[in-house]
Amino acid sequence: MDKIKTLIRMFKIYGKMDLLWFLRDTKYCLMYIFSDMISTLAVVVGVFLLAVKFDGIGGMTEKEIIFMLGYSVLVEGVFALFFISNNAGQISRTIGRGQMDHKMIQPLPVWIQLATEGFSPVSGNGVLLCGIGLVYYSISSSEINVSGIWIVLLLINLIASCTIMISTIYMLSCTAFYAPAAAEEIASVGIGMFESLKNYPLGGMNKSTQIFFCSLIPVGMIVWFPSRILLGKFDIMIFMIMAAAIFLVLAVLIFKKGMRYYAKYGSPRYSSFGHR
Amino acid sequence: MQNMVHQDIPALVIDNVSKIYVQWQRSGKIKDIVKNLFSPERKEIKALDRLSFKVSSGEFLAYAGANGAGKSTTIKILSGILQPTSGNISVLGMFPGKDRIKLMENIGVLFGQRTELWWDHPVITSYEWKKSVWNIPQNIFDENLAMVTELLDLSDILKTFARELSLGQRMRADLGMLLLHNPRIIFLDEPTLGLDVLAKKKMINFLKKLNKEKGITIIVTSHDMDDLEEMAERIILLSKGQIAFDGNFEELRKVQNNSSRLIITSSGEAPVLDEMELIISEEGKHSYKFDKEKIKINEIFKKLSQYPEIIDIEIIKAPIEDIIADLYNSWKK
Repeated sequence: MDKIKTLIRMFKIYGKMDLLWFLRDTKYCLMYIFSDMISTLAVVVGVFLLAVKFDGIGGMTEKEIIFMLGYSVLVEGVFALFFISNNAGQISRTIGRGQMDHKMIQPLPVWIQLATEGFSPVSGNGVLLCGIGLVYYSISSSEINVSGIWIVLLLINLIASCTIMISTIYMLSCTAFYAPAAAEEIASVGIGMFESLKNYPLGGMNKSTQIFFCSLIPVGMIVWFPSRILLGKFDIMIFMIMAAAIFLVLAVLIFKKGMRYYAKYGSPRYSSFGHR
Repeated sequence: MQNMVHQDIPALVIDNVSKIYVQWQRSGKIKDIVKNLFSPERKEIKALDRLSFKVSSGEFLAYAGANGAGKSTTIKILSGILQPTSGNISVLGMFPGKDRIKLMENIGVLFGQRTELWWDHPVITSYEWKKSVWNIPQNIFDENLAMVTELLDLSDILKTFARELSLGQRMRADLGMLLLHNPRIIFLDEPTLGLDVLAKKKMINFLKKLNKEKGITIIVTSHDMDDLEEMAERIILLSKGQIAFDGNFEELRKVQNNSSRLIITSSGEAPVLDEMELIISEEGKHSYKFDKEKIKINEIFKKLSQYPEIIDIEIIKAPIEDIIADLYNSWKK
């Protein structure tokens, strides 16, 4: 119960800090939100044009592709909402710059700090709104039967997609514990990988490629696979939940191992910008 | 701020603590490529070597040593950031590795070359963030905010972005933030680093006041020995991860048997004085080191009376910087 109260307290303060940025630097904050929306939409437009040109790609129709891209923007929006600020989603920077020290001197479990410090309900909501708009447009122009259960399914899949994405980024970022200079930016590479690859439907590929992109490099588990579940093309929902749980457990174990290494050897690097 | 000194529990106990780092050695030669891939050369560095000491509640301890002596490593171990390779540590009766969260509610850590302030927010936002993270009750927060604002002269900078502060202002703001949760011990790693004379003086006076009036245990590291002498009563000097000296500054001077300085201003050559070592002679000012216990002051005056060209004589305590420099040199030999 105490931990939940702490989580709420921390979400509140980070939400307030994000709002303060908007109130102080409204012009810059709006520019940031709009440019974020434009760059996100630009990434999905390419796949959309391909689908229009070939009347659907990767075993999905044009309308299904629109839904998939909407879901993709929605995932990115949720990711932005919770992890865009303070390098919470780019944890390799914090590790590589030796700034885990800042977290160790706070009287909070490290996981609570990492789960809350990226919360940006104002600056991170532009992409989320785009995602909601796109998903709404796609379901209103298709035959998806939207019910209460379907919305619950959508939320579960969203959480699972984001969990797989952030877990993979954290696992990659753990290399910064061992090679702080070389791996400082590895989280950005991971995010870039998801941004550019997750929008492609894997239906046209052979089974082994599909398995590869749904396990070792789980780009297929972020958008393609959950979209198929939501479009009623795949019934076994538990796959997503299990995959999310496995990735989360792996990320926690690997991160804990990295933290033990950090406590043993520290970091030889420090970039003195305080909390970022 | 309430005086929260608990006399029965030592502020900290370090018992036989060692910390060994491993450094990878890189030759940068082509012939070593394969060797570097499979069995790179490692070098073990003993940052702390069976270190033991105790600090009582309310003490103001200076923790000094040359670069790489193990000062920052000790602070990091005491604050639970690093784990020792061996040995036991207790801070306020807690074990930093196990009780990190509880411990952090009771101590404050400030690394001089770093900041805990949010870089892209005004100082007051960082303070409010601290209130949430440390869950500081509103009345205690208001009381402490008023205190640090007044004593550290923060009213002008509370609404300024941390990134726009000068180093001195940033240090004051950081120190103010450090005290908002009523810490019982504060660890300050190089708090006067880079500060100008005035900012340094303000900082030192504030810390002394804090220690004296609030009973907060302070452990401070610095390379500036004069600052340390002005602040602390006790000094621990580290050399190669071991304690080379533990006592007060007067005792430290006695260790080197050159506790005094004789400064002569003369229109002629530097007088030749037996058993006194001429350290520097510049523009008519000649400085000697001597041990007051061995050479009587009246004997010095008797000898100096033979030099009519002497204009002025001054006898002072040896600057602590010189004592430490001599000690560091003696450890190198």
